[in-house]
Amino acid sequence: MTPLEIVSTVRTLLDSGHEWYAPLDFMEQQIDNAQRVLIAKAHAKGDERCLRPLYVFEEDRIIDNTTAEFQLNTLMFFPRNLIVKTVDNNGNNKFVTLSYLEPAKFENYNMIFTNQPYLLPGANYPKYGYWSYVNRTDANNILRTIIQIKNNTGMQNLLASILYIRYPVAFSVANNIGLEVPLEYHFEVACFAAERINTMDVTEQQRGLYVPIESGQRIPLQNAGGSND
Amino acid sequence: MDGSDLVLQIRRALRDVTSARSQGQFYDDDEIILALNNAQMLFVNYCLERNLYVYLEGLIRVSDRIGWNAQLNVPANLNILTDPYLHIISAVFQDSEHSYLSRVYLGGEALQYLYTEHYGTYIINNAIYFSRGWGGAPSNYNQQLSGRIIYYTYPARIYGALPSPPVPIDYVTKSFSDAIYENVILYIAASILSLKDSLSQRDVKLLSEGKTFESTIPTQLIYLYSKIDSFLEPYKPQ
Repeated sequence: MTPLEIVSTVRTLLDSGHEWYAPLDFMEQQIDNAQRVLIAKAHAKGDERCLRPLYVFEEDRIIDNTTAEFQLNTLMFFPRNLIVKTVDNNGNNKFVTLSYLEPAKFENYNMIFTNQPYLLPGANYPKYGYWSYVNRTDANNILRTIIQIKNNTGMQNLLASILYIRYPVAFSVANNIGLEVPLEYHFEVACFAAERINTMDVTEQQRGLYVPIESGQRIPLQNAGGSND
Repeated sequence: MDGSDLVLQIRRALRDVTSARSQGQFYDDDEIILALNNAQMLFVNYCLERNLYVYLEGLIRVSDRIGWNAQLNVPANLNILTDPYLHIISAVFQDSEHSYLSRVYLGGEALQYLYTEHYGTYIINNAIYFSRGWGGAPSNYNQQLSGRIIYYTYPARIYGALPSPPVPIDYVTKSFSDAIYENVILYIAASILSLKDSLSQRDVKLLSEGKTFESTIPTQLIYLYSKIDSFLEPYKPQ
């Protein structure tokens, strides 16, 4: 569906028009949000058909010998697979196994490698590598995904290939940016956006209703504006 | 396809026809067409999720040959899974000597098997890779291999009137049997549209807001109105 058709579908589901009319920017925000929830749900269910258009495969990013950071081209929603390999002089691939660590633990392993607090001099290190990722803003204040790699395998000139699910581009009617999940999921997104808007509308507390009811008093209107005080 | 008769049938199912008792129509044609297309995609997704492939036989397509371009000695365009492609069914590929029936892997499942001796077809985003498990970069995988995929395509879009400029293929093609259109898709669309005509939570809120507004009338006035009612009681028609 085109962006306008999705908004029209949400309006039909909401029975919008005779009552409060959801503004377009608010609708766009909710549709965008609904799409992200759908993607997270598909990821949890393992619904690869829904996730297919969002896959990105970045091949052969060059990393240096022991520690490396590289920035992905787009913001990562979920990681899928990381392959690290090296190519010897005969053109044969050799693969390196890296374990995932949470960013905080990753920093801790960093300390172990550099300061070696627990290992005796001359002891053999475990031949392991670790990887992690963080989302943080770069110099231009744009949020980026940074892949961090810690390699203690003794292999050099590594190439990293990463497969991941990216964030969808924000839904926008004015810029004609539609949903990125496949067409057969568009109605589900519209339903979920309508559900969110409906819930926000019908559970809204009426502003300023508490004081007069609970105290049994009315606020005189002539004093409310402040100009006649 | 031409959905003008479906529009008429939906109006009858929803009693949205002009008569002496109710003038005018509640739904416009574009809204009904949009609901029909939504209902069609909802039905397709339902069938795919529940393996009801028997209803999707009209959507089966076979691709052209994909893969190694011998003249140019480069992989052919891999990003073939664009708009009409809906979902994979199966894949066959071949080298210069043999044909291989391969298992198909979607997305994240794929890379675990790339470096094993395993005949596989891997789908990552819009790209398709055939592999005999040689290892190396996935972009080199299609070397010397070519194949075909069998897949589901998207159903024909339902139009209310002949689009301008006309799209003859979309206009005449039917993706399902008439029984599916008239007994399933039509009633899903009618159910979507009926949400607009039934009492919703937002309607109830509107009514309760009306009541709140009523209660802001000064209590003295409400008291006096009730008095007037009781004064008028003997004179009201029985």
